[in-house]
Amino acid sequence: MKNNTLTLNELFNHPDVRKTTGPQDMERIEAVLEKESNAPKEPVFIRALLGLGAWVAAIFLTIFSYEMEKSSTGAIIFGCAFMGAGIILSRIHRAVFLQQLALALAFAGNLLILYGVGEKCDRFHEIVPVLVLTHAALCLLVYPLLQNSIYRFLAPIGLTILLIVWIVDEKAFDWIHVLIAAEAVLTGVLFLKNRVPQFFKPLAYAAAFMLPSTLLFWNLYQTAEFSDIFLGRNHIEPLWPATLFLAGGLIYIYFHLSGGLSRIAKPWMILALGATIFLGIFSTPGILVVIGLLVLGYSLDEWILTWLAYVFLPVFLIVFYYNLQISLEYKSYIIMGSGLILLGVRWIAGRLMPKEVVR
Amino acid sequence: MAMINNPLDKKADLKTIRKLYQDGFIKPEAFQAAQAVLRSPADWFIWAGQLLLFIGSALVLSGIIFFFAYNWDKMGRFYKLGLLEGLILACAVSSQWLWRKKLEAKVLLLSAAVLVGVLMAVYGQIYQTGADAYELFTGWAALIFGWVLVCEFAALWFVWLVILNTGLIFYWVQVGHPAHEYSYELLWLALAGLNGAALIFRELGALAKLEWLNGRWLRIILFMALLLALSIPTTQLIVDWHVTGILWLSAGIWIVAAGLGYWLYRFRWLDFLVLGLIVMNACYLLITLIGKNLFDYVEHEEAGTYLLMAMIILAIVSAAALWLRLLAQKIKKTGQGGLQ
Repeated sequence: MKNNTLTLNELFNHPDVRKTTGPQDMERIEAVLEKESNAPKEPVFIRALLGLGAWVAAIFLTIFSYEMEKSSTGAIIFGCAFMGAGIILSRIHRAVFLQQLALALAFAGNLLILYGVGEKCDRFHEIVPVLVLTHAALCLLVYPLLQNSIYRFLAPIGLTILLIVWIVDEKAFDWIHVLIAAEAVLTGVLFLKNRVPQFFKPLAYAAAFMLPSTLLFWNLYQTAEFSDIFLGRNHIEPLWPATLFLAGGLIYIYFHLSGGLSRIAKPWMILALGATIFLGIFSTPGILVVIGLLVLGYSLDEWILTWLAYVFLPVFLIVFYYNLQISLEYKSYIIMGSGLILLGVRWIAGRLMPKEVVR
Repeated sequence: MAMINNPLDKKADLKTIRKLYQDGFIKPEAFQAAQAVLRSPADWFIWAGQLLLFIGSALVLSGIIFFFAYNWDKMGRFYKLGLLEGLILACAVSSQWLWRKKLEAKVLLLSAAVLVGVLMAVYGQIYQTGADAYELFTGWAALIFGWVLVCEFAALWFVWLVILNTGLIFYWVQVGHPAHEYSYELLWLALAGLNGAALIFRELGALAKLEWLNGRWLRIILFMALLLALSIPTTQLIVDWHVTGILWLSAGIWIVAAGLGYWLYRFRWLDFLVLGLIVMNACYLLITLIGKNLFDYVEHEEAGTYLLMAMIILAIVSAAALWLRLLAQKIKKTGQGGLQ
């Protein structure tokens, strides 16, 4: 019997599961599933459509308010009013149009406040840190109040982008590693902890999206073409701190999912650890993130994480090829070697397979 | 259509189990037991094996491509060509040899097909044939066509389509536009034709119970490519309003493709994601059309025009989302599936 074709009924009647659930539990489960199946469920692409529509509408709302009052104070006042109206609307009615309007008002309010505050700065180098702090404060305030998963997903992404701009603007490149570590921890905690409230779900997806994106930006930033534009010189910042942290994080995921440190002596765990350390040394940290997302995606049935990983995998391979500061010949050897080792790991893993898999 | 009366008859997935646990409906031990059943060591081994095969092969192939991109002077031309031909032969023969292990055999044939492209590029590099890039891509597609037919592997078929699409784009850039003055709208129509034909082939294959063509991802990507190729000239028609036959033709084909797509994926092979794509695309074109007319007819762009435009966008998108939600509920009630 293939497990991935089990129905919920078959799963709860499986001998291992049945002994942990009583008849009363089953009644409650059936009742809650019945309720769930009657509740409207929104596919991801409808949320994407709503988010995109609100975002475009927010741009027009922003221009509208700018046309009405062309001053920084006016922008802040309009921004606060839009934000407040958005929060109230999101809480009073669940009608689609009102929810859309609330989201568009929140986006426009956010943009206007940032614009107004930025305009108020006297010195140019103050603008970015002020924007970071303002947006962080807005996120903290609005995230719990505005009942909209799209805003809760996009606002932290906006904050991360502003943080990256601040790091680049200040040339405080060490902080990029701190940012990557923070994104990795947030992704791990929010996805692996079993009792995280639904409220944090959009934040979890935002962190999972920004982790490979930040790494990709960082990889691209270090290419000669990109770096010359912004710095006027080729800037090379070591990637090893991020690599070290991410390899550690990936190893933690293995132990967490397999049942703890007691598994360390298992041959397949030794193999997984060896392959991870090897990839950490010879490959780009992006590949470690991709593997981490694939593992999380599979273990939690989160197809968004799986697709995110598949989209970023070829991108990281190409960027890795461009970024390696060695001759093309050695690049090809390293990449081929990495591939051969993974295929070798697969071959060895095949020998370690439990009997049930072989059957 | 069969109704799903009992919610417990739904396919078991970890997301549902996790939610039940998070909401306190099942105990930690029950959650762990369910997790162990749905993700048994056997499942993990199979999954990891496929992942390692996929990433490992991708890395080896990338390494080979980079190796030959280096244009190694120390290697003679016969050595270079011989090595590549040897690799292609080795992949093809081992694929035949491993035919019992289906996935490995298919990945090997896919590798051989990719290496044919590398061989052609190296050949052009050595002999300086002066061939245009489009010749390389179309020639490559022609040479591996036989393998595409016999391999029964959606990934290889997809790679072949990507190569053909690239060849077509290069043909327009290098020959079609400079030598024959083919308009760019014609390029988009040709791309729509190619991807539309591939989509029809995929659907016919699925109807004929060809399991390898049954992947939903292929349908989604092909339908997206078709809509994109038709939307660009249609947008041009809306924005520029310079009436050329080919723009009207593109817009006409968009209407037919969207209408037919709606009928097929609503009533024949229900696919809610394709319906969503059609609706999203229609929203985009409608908003562009209204926006263009609104800003054309307003002489002085006043603040109110922007507010009106924002409300129009919200109204259109909300109506589309509401309609999709209602449709989703209707489909769910009839238990038709396809709601992902």
